[in-house]
Amino acid sequence: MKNAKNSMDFSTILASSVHDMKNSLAMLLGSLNEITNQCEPKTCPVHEKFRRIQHETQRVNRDLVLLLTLYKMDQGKYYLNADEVLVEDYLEEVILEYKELLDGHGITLSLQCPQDLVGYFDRDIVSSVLKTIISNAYQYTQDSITVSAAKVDGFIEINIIDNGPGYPSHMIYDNTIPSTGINFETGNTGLGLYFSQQVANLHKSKDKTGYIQIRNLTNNTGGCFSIFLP
Amino acid sequence: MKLWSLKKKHILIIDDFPGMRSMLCNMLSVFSAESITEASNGEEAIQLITDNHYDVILCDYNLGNGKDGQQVLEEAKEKELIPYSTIYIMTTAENTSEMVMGAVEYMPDDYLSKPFTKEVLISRLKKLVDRKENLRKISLSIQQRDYVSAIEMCSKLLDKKPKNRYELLKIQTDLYIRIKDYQHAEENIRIVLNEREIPWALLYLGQVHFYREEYDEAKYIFEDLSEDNPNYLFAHDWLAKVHEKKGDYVLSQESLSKAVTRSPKSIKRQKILADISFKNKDFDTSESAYRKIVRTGKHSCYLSPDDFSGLARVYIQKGMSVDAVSTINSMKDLFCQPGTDDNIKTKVNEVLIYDEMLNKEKTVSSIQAVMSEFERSPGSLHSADAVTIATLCYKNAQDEDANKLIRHAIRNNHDNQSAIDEIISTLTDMNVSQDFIKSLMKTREEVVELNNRGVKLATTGKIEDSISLFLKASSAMSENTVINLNTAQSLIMHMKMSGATDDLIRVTKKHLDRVTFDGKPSEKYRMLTTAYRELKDTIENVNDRVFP
Repeated sequence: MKNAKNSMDFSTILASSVHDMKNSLAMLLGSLNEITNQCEPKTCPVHEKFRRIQHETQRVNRDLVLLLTLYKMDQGKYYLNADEVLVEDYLEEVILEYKELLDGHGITLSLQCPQDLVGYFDRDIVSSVLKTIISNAYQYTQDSITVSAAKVDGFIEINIIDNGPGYPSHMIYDNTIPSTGINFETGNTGLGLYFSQQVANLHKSKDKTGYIQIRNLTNNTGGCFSIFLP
Repeated sequence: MKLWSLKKKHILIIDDFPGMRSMLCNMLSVFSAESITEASNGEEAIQLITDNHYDVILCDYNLGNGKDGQQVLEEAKEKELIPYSTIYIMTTAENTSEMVMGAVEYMPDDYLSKPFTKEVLISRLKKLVDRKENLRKISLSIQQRDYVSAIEMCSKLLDKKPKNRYELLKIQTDLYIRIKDYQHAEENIRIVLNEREIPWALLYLGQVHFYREEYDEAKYIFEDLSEDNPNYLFAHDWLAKVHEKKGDYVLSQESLSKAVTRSPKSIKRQKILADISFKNKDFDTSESAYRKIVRTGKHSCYLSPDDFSGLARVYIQKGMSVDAVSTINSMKDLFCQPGTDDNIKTKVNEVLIYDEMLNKEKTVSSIQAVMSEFERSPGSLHSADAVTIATLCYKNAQDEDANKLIRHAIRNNHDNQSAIDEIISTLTDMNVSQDFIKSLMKTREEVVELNNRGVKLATTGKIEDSISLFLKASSAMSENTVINLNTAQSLIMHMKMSGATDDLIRVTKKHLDRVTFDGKPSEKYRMLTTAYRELKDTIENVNDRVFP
């Protein structure tokens, strides 16, 4: 067993090396972007492979961002940078990254959002949440992912719905109910959900606090992740 | 849908990493960008921005040694090197929230965290073009300091219940505060706060209380705000201001220290800290703040001779006169460009420091240096400095120089009664006789006469003679509002008859920019700026600079 002081030092070391990895990944992603831009889907036989590498690299990058942010939250050093957000424009940009990848796999990605929906939240950190969830949905969906948003009871609700087998029962989760918690031991997406929950909770306005919900659609027609931001 | 392209757009990429630059070039060339320029550091970028027009600037925050991305932005905006229409995007490898919170004055149009794809870059660019277009007229009015019209335009847009409602309310609230209409400002703030507690709305509410001199209310708001949002540095800045107003210099310094720790690179904030800790006689803190300014500020457009004399004053207080002198010497090395405001300011500061050090010999010899620079370039000496130096001249029996300087101050303010009253009271304090003061004041009539001659030339068709008379006059009395306005007027009359040119537009702008006023601009100023804008448009329309 190490003492508390040593383990804290180690987390700082981890954080700084994560930072370094992120910089390398940024370069790697840049080069990959150039390659995928140069080889046309129709003419280049390995285009699809590159897309896949690109996607996985982005996923690693997102995980690192997520780790760094959780580290900062843990140290009490993460401060929310909330701002007025035009939700439709914002979600369009979030899903842009996935458009081509999903098209290539015959998965339709659609957006349903009222034009005049305005939210107030931290763009960067919420997009980390949404992208993590979309990546996850991509692994499990059959052929469609829908991102939708609406205003419900003073909250902006953003849903990510897929038509795959749905979430396993131990992951069904609603943090408006205090007794349910996230169990890290039961699935590899635990970190992503924990992160999502932390991010939602950071968003507060007056007496309202953000939260997440995970449920399955009726008749096992898919899974639905929702984040509610006040 | 029309295909969106960057054809004909002038784009500048600033990044110290060649790989990153070529990657951005490739991304942009997909959208038919033809004119892309690259800069590898901030200094090179400023040079390029000074000499060329760019529609889009993509600048990395971290540029290695030298200026960083924020300093490039500050200098470009402060020196008005880029027009409102230019889109400035800061790219960054870090979390952007720290940069957003740390900025004191200027923010880029957008932040993009690396890595990003070309799709995201283009989608941002498209949105920024729309946003610029949406706010173009409002921004132009603000640039012309026509705040009343800008407020009306905000109201018109708000009536349409737009998507960017909060943004418009924020701009409008800021404008209400600028014209001291606190009631309407507060109404706007309440509309927002009834919906949610947004930091900027609370910040403005605190400001409204501050300007109404309700310092306790302001204090509570800024205290809560800075506690709930420790990284919202404006809250600390304002809390420090309130403490200062209330005479609590120690608390003021404490708030500022918190803000400075979170934004060590902000020169402006360091300056306030240096100043307040000097007032607190906390010379160690003041010294360290000034030293940071002088060291990190060497790439910033905000570094001024005053920072060096501030540091020298700290050294005097600490009994370190050798360091004070060497600080003065480094100031002289840095700001020695003849004919510039900074050059004469440096010499003025030198006089003040030697006077404070009670070094009579050096004081007198540095007064001579001020005088010779003043004779060479009278327009660069500010009238307030002229009066300060004049008092030292009287003190050191240099009456003739003193009189020259006082006449200079009067010439610059001949139409400004409160400034004249101040000069008279300073002279009275220096035991100058009332009769002699009266004779000095004859300078006012000389300026009136000169001005009348210039106006008459203009109205009798001798417009070119009028311009040359006014240009000569305004170069000697660069602060004189009447002369500056009439110089601009003659230039505008000339351009209306013979057409505008880049040079004439630039000179006209220089004179309009020199005009200062408390609160609302005068009718004449508004009329002239409108005419100026129209003339400027006539040349700008020739070069097509509008996005498709």
